[in-house]
Amino acid sequence: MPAWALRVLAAGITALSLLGSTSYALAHPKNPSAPLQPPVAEQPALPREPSPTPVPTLPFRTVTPTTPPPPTTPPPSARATAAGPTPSPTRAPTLRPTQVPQITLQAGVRATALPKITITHSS
Amino acid sequence: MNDLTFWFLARITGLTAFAVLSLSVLSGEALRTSVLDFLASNRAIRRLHDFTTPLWLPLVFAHIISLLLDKTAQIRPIDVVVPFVNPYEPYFLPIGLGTIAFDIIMVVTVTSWLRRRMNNTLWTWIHRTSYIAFVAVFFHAAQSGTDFDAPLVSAIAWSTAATLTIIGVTRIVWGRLPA
Repeated sequence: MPAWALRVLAAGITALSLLGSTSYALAHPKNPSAPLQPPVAEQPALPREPSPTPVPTLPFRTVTPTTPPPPTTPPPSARATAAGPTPSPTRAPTLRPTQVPQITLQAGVRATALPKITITHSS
Repeated sequence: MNDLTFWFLARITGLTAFAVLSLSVLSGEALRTSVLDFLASNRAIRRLHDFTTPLWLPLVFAHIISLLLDKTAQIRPIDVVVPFVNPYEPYFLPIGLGTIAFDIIMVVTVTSWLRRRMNNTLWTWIHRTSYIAFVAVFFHAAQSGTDFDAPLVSAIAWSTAATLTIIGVTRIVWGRLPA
């Protein structure tokens, strides 16, 4: 092989090495075990999944909605006159306290009391 | 310019410089052995060996300049010429090996340009230190290089170094091989 062909071969090997090194380095920007860690190593390699709950950025205040008062039971005398014969004395059902849901509102949003439920449907 | 530009440039030029320096050592060893006799005459291989210098020289300088400008590497100008003074404590040995290799190959290159004005025996012994420089380059790259523990790069680099070592040992033990 003549000398010029060897030179062309050497230049080709150099060009291929340069291209290969460039493509490899650009394809592998981060090596966790490399001694020198560039700033790109501080970024995650894979995009993180979006968090299920968005993080609030504005100040919040918690408002407890107003609940209608519990139904009052009429006195035994009134019930007796309305229902006829006197029923056997029974204890009024005790209402278990339920946990009141809390609503989180952004600042500047006003909370209003819920209107009373009125039944308009009749059959 | 991006902060990572010089870091990428240092890696790319370092990898390519290692490949071309390997080619230079191979062609130099082929002059004293007959491993490339099947490919070309000794005169043609000698021209190839001379031709590799302008190939690896700009790559080595680009590698050093990139590291000087790279904020991550934290290489100072004095670290380029004086070995083992860099403050990069855990890796001062491999970086110092790179400095030693650079000093040696610069001396070898300059003395090659001044060969006609030098004693031939002195020039020969100075030129033989390029083997030490290549060993230093290899361990500099293997210990402080970003990509040399990657399987692909590591396989190519170690096989290249093993081949050059076998040829060098063959040259020392048996001299020039029969053509």
